[in-house]
Amino acid sequence: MLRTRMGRLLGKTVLALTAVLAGFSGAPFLASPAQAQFTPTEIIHMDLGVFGLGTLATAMPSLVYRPMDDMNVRPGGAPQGMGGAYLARAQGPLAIGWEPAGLVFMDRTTIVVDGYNIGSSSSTRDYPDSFLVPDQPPLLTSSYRMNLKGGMRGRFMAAGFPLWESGNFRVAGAFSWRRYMEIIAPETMVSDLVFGLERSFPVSLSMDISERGAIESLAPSFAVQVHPSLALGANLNFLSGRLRAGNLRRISAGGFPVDAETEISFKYSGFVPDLGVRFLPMPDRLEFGARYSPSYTLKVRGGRLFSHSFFAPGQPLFVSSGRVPGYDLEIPPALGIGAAVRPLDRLWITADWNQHKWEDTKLTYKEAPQDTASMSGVGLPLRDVTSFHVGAEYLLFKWRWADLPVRVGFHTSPQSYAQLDRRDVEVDDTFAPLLQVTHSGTYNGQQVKTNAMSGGASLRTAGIEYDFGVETQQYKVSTWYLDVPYDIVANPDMTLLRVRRTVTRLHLSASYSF
Amino acid sequence: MSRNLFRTLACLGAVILALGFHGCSKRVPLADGVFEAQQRIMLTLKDGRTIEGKIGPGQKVEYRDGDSVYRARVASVSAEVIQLDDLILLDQANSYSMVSQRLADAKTRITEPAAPVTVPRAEIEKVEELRFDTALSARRTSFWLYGGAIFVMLLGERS
Repeated sequence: MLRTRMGRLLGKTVLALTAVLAGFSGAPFLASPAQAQFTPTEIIHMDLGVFGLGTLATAMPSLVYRPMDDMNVRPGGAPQGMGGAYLARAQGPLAIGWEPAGLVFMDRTTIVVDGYNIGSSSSTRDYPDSFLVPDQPPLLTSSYRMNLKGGMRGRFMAAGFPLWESGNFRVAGAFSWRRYMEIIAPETMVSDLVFGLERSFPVSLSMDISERGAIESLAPSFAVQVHPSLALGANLNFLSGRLRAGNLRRISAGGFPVDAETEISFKYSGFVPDLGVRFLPMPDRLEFGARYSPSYTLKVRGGRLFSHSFFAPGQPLFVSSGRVPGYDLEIPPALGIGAAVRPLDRLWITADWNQHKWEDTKLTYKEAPQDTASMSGVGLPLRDVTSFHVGAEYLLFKWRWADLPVRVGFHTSPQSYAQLDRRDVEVDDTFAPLLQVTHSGTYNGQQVKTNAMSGGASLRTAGIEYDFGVETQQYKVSTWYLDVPYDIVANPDMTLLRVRRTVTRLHLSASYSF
Repeated sequence: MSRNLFRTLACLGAVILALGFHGCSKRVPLADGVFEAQQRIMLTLKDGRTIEGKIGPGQKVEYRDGDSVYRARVASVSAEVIQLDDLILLDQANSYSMVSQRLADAKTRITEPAAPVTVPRAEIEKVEELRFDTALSARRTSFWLYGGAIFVMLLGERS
């Protein structure tokens, strides 16, 4: 095959792409202080040392520009179907994730499990229409896609027990294991190209970011009803978790793929209580609930990075490793207030207000990063979140063996982070046309804001209940072309794309009382 | 192919285990009180005693008398009476002594057979057939299967 003209072109293309796509393979780290060692096997080891989040934000922007989400992890298909307006309605073990005082409102031992599935689609229009590789015909871009990766995830498991009851005084306890905060944002990017020749073959650049992990809570919970119209509760959340992100970049030219890979991981730990109160001036007609989580320290440790460049015959293989120093995040307090009213026997209407001032988060490194742009004062691109939620539940059918309520809801959904902005990077053109790009030390982008519509239904039978909810939202987010702020071939113009994304979440929870 | 076969068998095994763990039965009253030997029946007598099982000659049934539970053999069945013999005491309410002694001795019979019992049909107050409750079993089985899947997914995040 290599003897054919197309075969020679194919081989040159792969070599040229792998040689010049250094930025795409993560070798902006070359601009960082490095110690190179040549080995007889043509593997070049690069020790990147200890670098901070500012360097990570330039080399792997998708890993830094993402939300810390403690709202969408709240459990239950029923709450999701009501737009997340559930602080004053949550009862039994499900209340652990909403307002722990509601735990006391159960008559029997109850087990609750909850999971969800994410689906996403996106569209982009501003991508460059061609890709110029030196000494090669132009590569024309036929499509560019950047989607969130979907999939089914477990979210919540809990068992609750009525402990004691005497007159109007009730005590209940529970134990839960749940996702406390979502930190992953797996994505896929695929760019399809074709040579500008009469007889050509396709070239595909793809990036698959696979991520696993979450900040999870193992928590005992307690709730006490001290008065017919007042209950108090608390969760003691012992936080732990890991983030493992793998970024697989692939060049496929005429069906001949070559890969480059980067892996990074972090570990999390901490402790935070959730405090809840339920006020029932008219039980089963008018109820109020509130939840407060005080400030706490989230410890982030074990930031390790490993990367290797594209394999290509006759080319050296760059293998990089480095470390992000451990840091502490002082997470500010969070507050939520909700109300529920029952104007008709079959109709509940709820409303919630939630606030978390993420911008007050303080980051403190445990050791100073060694990169030139250490920016120890710069943390994560976090933004305050204030959201409003409204929902309604109507008991549509009441059969002898089951009830079937249906739900609708709406909520504002500002994301807790600022999106990419061109002002976030500084460009040094001393050695033009080669540019050196570093982080400016500030996050100037706008907060990602959107709204969400939701609906759902439940099937309630004696002892077992299934709750289903679906929520959809649309938003626009900025991202670097090929997730690289600058590369002399891949992204010479520092193109920033606007991606319109639609995200749909399906929630299914089940409870069993016995 | 062997991996797919293993997965299929593992899933089938999980379903069977879940069904076995929570296969549920329901009692369906037989209005006319007529039953056949192949049917699993619950007879409730006027004094509260019960006989559960297939009421046919030679069949093993469970006989409850107050706090005591016996395994008995149906000696004979006629239009007037039901004869039970070979009664073995299995359990007593609020007492673990029978169970613990049986486990310790690794024996089913740890007492002498009790006296045969004659049950006049006229004393039968209620006749119910024991049937597999498909709907309840399906709901409970699906809950445990889904719960198991959630547990595995949560575990998987930590691996």
